[in-house]
Amino acid sequence: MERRVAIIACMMGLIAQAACVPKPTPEDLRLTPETQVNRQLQTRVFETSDEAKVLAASSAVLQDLGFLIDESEQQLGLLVGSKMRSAINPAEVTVMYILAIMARSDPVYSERQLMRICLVTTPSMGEPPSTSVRVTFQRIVYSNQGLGIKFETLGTPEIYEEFFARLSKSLFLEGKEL
Amino acid sequence: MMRWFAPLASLALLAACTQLSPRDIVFEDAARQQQLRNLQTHSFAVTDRIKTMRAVIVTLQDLDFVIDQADSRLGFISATKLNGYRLNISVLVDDASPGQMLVRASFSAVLQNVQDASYQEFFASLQKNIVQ
Repeated sequence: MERRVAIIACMMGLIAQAACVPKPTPEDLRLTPETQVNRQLQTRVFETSDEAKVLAASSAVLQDLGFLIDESEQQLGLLVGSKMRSAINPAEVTVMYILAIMARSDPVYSERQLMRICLVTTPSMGEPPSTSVRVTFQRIVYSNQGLGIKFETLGTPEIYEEFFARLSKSLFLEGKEL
Repeated sequence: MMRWFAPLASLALLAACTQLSPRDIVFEDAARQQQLRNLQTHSFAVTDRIKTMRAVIVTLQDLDFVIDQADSRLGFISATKLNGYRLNISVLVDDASPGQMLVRASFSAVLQNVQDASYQEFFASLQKNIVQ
């Protein structure tokens, strides 16, 4: 009897979760006033016209941070990197094991996370000539059963500031905000 | 034995009715293809393919996509947006027509439908970055 109740509760939970799964909407593809704010956070301008040098320094920073370069396209000023790291949180694992024992099922918890970074350079022929660098981050968290359970865009002002501080050191140039 | 026959037969019938054949999946409905092609394609009055591709990349970053792949010779860009869901986009920039650039975008979301209005919103966003 208890087992039936647990199974019914689990199924209702799954149905409720499925109903709450976010779906892409046309509005997600619209530029908003927030877009400009994010663009400023994600971008720094360096006083150099040598875009290739900026890309080379950027790829060195990505490697220093443990990213593997997945894609590069010099003509478009593009670098894409990723790294896989542990996502195990002992508190979450403990709770999920207790719940699994109660429901007599297998525990499901966050195990690995894939971090992705996209870096794009854009030359500007103004006076003085400059090259802007924009970075964006994403993360996918995988469960111990190998399923993607969290899909999100990352990026706090601190992450961008620290990343550009490292790039400035690598380039021997000060990055300015847009 | 007999009490299981009716439900099993119903299930088998239902499975046979709803499953698309591999041929249907590969070729899909021709009328829908034409409709989708029109939705997915937009022309811009610009001539520089690389600048157009860079504008596509800027727009995708504005919309929180991360680029997966790009090939400037083929004019191809693919990217992914993660926001609780996973939305993929492929963009092809084609300069074959004189005086204009054809941009074709196609979206795909795992087990979810992408509304047709998404294409209009995407091209409206791209237009703003191409004008700048």
